[in-house]
Amino acid sequence: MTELLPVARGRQTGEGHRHACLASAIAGRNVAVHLHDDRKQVGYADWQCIHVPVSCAEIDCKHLVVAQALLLRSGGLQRGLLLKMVGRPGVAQRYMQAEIVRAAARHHWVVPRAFSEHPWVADFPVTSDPAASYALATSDKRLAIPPAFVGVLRVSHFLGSAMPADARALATPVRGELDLSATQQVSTLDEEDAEESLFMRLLSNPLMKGQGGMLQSLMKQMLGAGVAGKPSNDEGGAGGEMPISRAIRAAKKGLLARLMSVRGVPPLEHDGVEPGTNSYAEWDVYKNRYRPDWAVVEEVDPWAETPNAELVEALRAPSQALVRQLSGIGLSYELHRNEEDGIELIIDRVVDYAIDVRTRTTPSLRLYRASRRTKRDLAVMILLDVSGSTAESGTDGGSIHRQQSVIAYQLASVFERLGDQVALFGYHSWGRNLVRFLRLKSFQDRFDNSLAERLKLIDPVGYTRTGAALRHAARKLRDETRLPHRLLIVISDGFAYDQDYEGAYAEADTRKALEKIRASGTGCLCLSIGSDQDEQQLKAVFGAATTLSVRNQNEFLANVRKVTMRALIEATSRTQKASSASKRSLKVA
Amino acid sequence: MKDATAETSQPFYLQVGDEVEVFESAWACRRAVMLKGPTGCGKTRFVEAMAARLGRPLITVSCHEDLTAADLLGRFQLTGGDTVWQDGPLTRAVRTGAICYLDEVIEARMDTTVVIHALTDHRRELNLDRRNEVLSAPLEFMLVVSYNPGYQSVLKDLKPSTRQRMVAIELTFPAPEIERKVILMETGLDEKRTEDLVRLAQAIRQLDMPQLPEVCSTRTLIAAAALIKSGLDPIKAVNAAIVRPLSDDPAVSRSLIEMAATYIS
Repeated sequence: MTELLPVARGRQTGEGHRHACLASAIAGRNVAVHLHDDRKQVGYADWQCIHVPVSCAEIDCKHLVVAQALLLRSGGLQRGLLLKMVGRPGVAQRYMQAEIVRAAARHHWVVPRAFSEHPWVADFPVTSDPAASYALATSDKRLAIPPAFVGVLRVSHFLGSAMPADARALATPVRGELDLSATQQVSTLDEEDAEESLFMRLLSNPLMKGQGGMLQSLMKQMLGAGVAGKPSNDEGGAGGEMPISRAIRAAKKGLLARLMSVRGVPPLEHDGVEPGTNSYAEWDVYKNRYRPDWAVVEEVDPWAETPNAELVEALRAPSQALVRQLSGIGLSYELHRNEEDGIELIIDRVVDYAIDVRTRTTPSLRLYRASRRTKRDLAVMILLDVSGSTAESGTDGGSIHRQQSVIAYQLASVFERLGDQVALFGYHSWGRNLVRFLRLKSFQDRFDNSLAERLKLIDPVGYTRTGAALRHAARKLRDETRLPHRLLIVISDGFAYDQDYEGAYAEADTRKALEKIRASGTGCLCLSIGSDQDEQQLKAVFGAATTLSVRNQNEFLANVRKVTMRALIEATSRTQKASSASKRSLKVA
Repeated sequence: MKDATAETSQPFYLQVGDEVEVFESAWACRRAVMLKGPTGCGKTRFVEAMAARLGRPLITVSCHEDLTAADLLGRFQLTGGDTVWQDGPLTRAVRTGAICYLDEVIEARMDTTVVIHALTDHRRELNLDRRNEVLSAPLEFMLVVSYNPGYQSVLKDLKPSTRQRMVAIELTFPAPEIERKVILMETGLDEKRTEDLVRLAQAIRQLDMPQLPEVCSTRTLIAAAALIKSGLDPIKAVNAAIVRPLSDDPAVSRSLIEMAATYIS
């Protein structure tokens, strides 16, 4: 291993291995590459990842990645066939070799020539389909001894979890077909599962899992069966018990979506199922995949018995300095008449000019039509972190919540005054099933005194699940305004923290959400009110260029324009990828 | 803006699908053509080849976000004490019966659609309201627009009323066999290296990640092939012409360079 350093770094970030592109390109979907140091130094794959032994030589490493990616591409990892190979490693190996070679022949235009011209690949008999490969594997035909780089097929890795949605899209054209035979075979295979009801087994059907794993886990949770693979709650755990009513509502929605997909009908839009609730996928950095429909966001109006006295005097109109800083952002062209310089002459004005010159009066020089960047085409969504931590006292004597509310109110006022579309929402959460969006001002609401009134009705409680909040905000921003320049401003005191949502997991999910949102053309920036340390964390996630501390008013005023422009430029410079990308990836943001 | 006259030699273009046939029929029936396709897949080359094939001059306008209807039609300019009318490229094309090609038409300002509409339906006329003149397009005149659907943003989309006036031809990256021939014909690189380039391109086009807004085009393959042909080391050439222009993300770039090294021997 000559390049240990970059490899080790790639391993840390989970998806940055230097052969990740090679693996994804050949597999036809995003696949990670991980190094392992197991006792058996062999390469193998599972649905999401190709595992390469650390002792693998460079050239073999590439070939191994190509071979295992071809196996993932082959479409031969069908449950029915794999089940027949349980406990028959010899057959599994021969089957894998046949499938690799079959995929190499079928997709030869994406395979490196060094691989397809390797003597072992070139001499191996090419089969026509997985069934033929299986027939070859079980026959007594002698096959050449494969080179070590081919790796092994570990059937259990593919049977243990369902085929991911993107692989399914590549492999089987028929979706929503209920494959009962496979389910029944699983149950005869695993003795311990025999106790489970048929209902549970239907729920765990592999074809349905991609969309409805949540339902299964929720039902199991409620029935007390425990959920495998879920990170254990620590005792200081944020949030409390699962709110049952919401779980049932979400479960109902999941069931409906599931039944629809069984019938081969596309699932309903979330808004159509349950007004006010939306579910979003969440990125699981440890498993390197999305957890579909993981976080449920609910929109509500703020309510408190008594208005927050602290805010009564605090919400004042924004300073002229702030207005000046934020004017001229997100403009489009507009045609102006009677300009001194421009793209074309206005004939009437030219005639007047000629008359003026001949009669020796002073002519007006405003002869042109000009197109100038004056039209406001900006939509701004301001997200206010109203978790419990913001109730602590801040730098100016009042609470952090007060500071944040003032800045949110002023920003909303400025953008509104400049003619932009503005929405302001608060967010906090209690676990993934209850991410609350507090409506302070939606894009449709008029900007009037009710914004200040609503702000006063917010009581900072709960925790912060930033990823889900960002995804929901970005979707509202995009769907409700349809403007070309979109800006998402998050005002937060620190880093995301919620039940089962902290540290590297929360950081990776937030980063993933931001990545998608920026790629769709929405600028994101973060205004931080917290300590230096919190700010460093926020900068790591949001990017140093688009994070700004609000504690120092002068510094804030000096930089707010620069940071906002950067956020917008960063988003617009990333062009949207062709729609195929969004079709294949899971529903996010 | 440039004029290519019919006398120039026939540009090299290899048919990918039925686009030549459709274009010729559209010309015969006097319909406007809308070319869709990713950047570098050969839209401009196709129009050049078709103009040469049909024996018409070609007037190309590269649209940008500040291009107005006046830029297409023409305007009065001040010369001494007089105002003098100067034809724009579209007016010139209508007067001379040329093929007018509006490249990346979505980029142009909205007021250009008004001009295009009257010219692309049964009226086939160009209104020069500032000169109080209506030009009727001759039979030879043809309007061709192109755009890249991948770049679409919410506002920058062609209106249905514009789209439906045109015959759409969708160009994609050519199939590997054709792409190989294109590179061979354009650069004269040897067969093995050409095939390596095409395989690499096919593989990169499978990738679907947010850090890669575009995949490598036929144009970049030809650039790489030309660099190799001129004597540059193949891996350096591929990195310079194909990989580095694709992404600024360091991790993705690194992985793509590794990938290129796997394909290029």
